[in-house]
Amino acid sequence: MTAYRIPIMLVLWVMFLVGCGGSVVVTPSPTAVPPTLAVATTAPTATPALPTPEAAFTPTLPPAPTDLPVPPTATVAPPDAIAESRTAEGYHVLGDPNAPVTLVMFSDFL
Amino acid sequence: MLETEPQLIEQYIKTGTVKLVYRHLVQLGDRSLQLAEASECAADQGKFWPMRQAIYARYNQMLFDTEQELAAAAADADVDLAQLNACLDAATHRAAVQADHDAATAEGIRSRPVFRLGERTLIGAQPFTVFQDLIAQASGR
Repeated sequence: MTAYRIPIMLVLWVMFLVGCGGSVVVTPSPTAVPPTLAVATTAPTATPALPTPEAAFTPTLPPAPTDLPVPPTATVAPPDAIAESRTAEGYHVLGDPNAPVTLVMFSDFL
Repeated sequence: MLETEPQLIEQYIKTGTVKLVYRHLVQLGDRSLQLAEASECAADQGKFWPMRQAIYARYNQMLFDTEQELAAAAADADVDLAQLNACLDAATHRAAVQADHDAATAEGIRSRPVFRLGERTLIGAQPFTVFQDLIAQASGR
């Protein structure tokens, strides 16, 4: 008779624990609230003080292509450039070779 | 001519009415020859007209310290001085400049400056109005 009582008592004891103390085990504690929820509720006030990713990286961004200096090239003539050429004899000519009037200057540099 | 040429360039050369042809005279000895050669050496670098302008701008000092002023003129005209000096040392253009001078004297040119416009020859510096009249006649305007 005693041999039957022990298993029955164990079963009843387990059922008691499940029925009474089990709720304590499975019920989420207040600390189980996701911390991200609390952060999300306070985020709007904290966001303006934090640097945005764009602001943080702006100083290190390379300049836009349009800001790069353009190296001068010898092939680009100034806007007021005048044609230069030579006569068949090799004399230097300033102006349009087909200009209707030719002014010849004989001179030296002193 | 220093005052007249900019007016001619602005009013007639830039507008395509006139072209200016330059011919060398070397009437004042070795320095005249040296400067004429320097202008031709600058021409090797595509800088004849800028060098001519730079030399003219310093002509008052050219007689006193030609080497220094020539170097300054080269800098003004963006001419490479080492190449210029090498060209001068080699007398690369001396014969051509002398031939230019000889051809001018053979045509009766005896002084400087002399201008020829069509059949007209002007001896000595001229006011701008003289060029205006001759150009108007030559171009039919």
